[in-house]
Amino acid sequence: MNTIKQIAGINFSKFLVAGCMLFGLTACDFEYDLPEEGSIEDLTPPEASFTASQSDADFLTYNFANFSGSATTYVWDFGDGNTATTVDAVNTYPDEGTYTITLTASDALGKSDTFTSDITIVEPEAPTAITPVIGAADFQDGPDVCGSGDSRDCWRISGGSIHQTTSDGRNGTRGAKYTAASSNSPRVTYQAVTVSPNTKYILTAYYAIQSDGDTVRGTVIDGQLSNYSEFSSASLLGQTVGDVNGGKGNFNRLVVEFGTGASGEISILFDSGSNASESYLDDVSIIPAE
Amino acid sequence: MKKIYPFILLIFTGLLMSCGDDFLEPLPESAVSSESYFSNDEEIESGVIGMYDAIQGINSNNLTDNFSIQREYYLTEMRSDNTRTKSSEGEAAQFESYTVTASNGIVSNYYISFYEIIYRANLVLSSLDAASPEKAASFEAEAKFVRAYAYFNLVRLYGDIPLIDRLIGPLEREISYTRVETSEVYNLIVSDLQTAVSGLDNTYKNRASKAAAQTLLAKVYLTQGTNYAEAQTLLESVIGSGFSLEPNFKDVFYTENNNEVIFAIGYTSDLTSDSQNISAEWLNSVGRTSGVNYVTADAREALDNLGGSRTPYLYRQDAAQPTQYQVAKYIPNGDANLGIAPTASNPELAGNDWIILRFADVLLMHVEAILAGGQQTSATAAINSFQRVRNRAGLTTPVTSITKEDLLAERRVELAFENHRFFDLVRFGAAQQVLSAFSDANGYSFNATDLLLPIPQREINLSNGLMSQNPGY
Repeated sequence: MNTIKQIAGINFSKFLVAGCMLFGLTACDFEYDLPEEGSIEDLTPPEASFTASQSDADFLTYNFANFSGSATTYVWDFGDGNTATTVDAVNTYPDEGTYTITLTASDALGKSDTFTSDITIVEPEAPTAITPVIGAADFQDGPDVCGSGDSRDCWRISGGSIHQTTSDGRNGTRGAKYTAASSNSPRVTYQAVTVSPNTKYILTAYYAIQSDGDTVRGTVIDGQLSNYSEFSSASLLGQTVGDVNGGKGNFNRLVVEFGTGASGEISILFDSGSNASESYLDDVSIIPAE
Repeated sequence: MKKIYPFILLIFTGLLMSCGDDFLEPLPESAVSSESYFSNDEEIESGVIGMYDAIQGINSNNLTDNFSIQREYYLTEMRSDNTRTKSSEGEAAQFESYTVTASNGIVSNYYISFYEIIYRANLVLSSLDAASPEKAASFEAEAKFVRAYAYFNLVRLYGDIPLIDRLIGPLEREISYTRVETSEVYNLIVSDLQTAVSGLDNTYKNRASKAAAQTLLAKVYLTQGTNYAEAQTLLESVIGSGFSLEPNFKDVFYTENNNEVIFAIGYTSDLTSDSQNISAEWLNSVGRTSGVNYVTADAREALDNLGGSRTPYLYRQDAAQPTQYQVAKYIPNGDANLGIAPTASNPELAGNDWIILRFADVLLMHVEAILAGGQQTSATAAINSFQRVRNRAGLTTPVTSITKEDLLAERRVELAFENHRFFDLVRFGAAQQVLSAFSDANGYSFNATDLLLPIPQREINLSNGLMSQNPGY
């Protein structure tokens, strides 16, 4: 500094440039500065974050998506002893259970942040189709049947005449009876059922007829009716007509195969043709096809 | 006093004038304000057409124009495993290599374009008071369909976004730049589409229709992973609305408004104002670029294996550069080998309509709705819909069960290069797995954060601190 003063007295302008350069050189030399001098705080420290998603192919494999910010290196601890240092990660776990996943995100300034999340791995159950319980499927009366004791109360629909019951059912038990066309108004047997959507089912029932040309019909309706008058315009999932004349007491199988749609709310309806003689129905069931 | 008197008189006159009711009336005729723009049905109709004009985009190479869906394939197909640029250069190549930056001009152009669509829909909605009672409901339904369509693309591409459901002024910065949760955006989309379903009929294919609204709503439900039964019912209603698959796959793309099209954006050949340059950009050095949306080796393998009789109309060899392969849908200048006639005298002014929703998509979504998030189905209705799409491609061997993977693969082939692939991968939960593997095989740098685009940097800058960026950018 003394040098500059002395020179400045003689010819300041001549040495000004040189002086400044010297100054500049000195100022750039941080050799003797303290290590913390001039450094600023890490204003954007890492923020660790991730999401986990189960693989479709294997329920034990998880994909981890890294949503951390302001970080350059990552350390994954998957909670089963496996680790990784990739940005995103995949891990296959040895077994079902709860695992704690820890992601440590660090930046190049030595700051780090940790994010932890648990996953619980359970083997997904194969969806099972509902097997519906049909009320009074065997048409037996009894103390708790259909809330009233009368098996026919499970099968009524407004606007339709309910079937009669008879002791001439299958295997000598009670069954439903449809009157001959000449004797009375047509009888119907209706029940609303809830099954699984988009599933194949088999409706089975047993019928007996006594005259050639007589029929008993089983119908599966998509949706549920509030009045019998809606039946003629209802959308049907399946219908089968039984016309094998085995005579009274000899029951034949009536099968309706059907697949449900978007809704599992369906209904089943049995009726008879313009029959010459009385006809019978018994033992109704619905089971999934697979 | 002598001097003051005239001043008092002047002030008094001024007061009288300013107190008059008609001081600013009638409305100035030389300038139009948005509030008073539409005053009758005819004028609102022009606003409705304006919404589709905004979807259509401007056919130009001026970077300040809104290209809208004319550059959508960059953000969707080229960001999936289906396509890439021919030259791997420039900001266009950021998509294929998963190195998109917040300043990418194509990303910001799409964002601006789609908020322009939303603005024009809001403009129609704000003018409903001027509509006749007979037309008001259909105008509302149509504008809400368009608004939902725009938000559905934006929310899937950018994540949390500003939700603007009315006309706003330049000072309403809060609403312009506040990013709201995707769930809130979906709430508006669903309610808009429900209005659209009930207020529209199936008159148009180049404008909103009931079937288009039902299809889009079903897709929204499938994307949310909720309401599968509702989605199935909506799709079954579309299936029963008289649409059918074109017997010949090629005709879907070269016969405008055929019976398979549910919603398409119309373009007219050789008119600068009404044509598209999508098709030209996909050719070798015909458009502005040396060629984009070129087919990847990964996609070719899938299309060869599963395409059946569709394959020749999905992709073709580039005659000028035999190592490269081009998309064979929407060719503007014809291909004698494939029996495709030119659609325009200038391929950069192409008239090929851009199909947004078509019947094959509906049939495959029907299968997806029945799968309801499960791994496989053998329900008759699902098999029937799936088989219809495959039969047309000559793949007539009966299928007995369909896995989620089968369905994703079938969608990739049937709907290749129609901007579905990226969204399908995300919706099926397969994006991270499939794109990581694709990226590793090609030396690209995919991360899970690449599944959302960046919010354009210009928006963040303009927001003055209100807007935050997506992770990874």
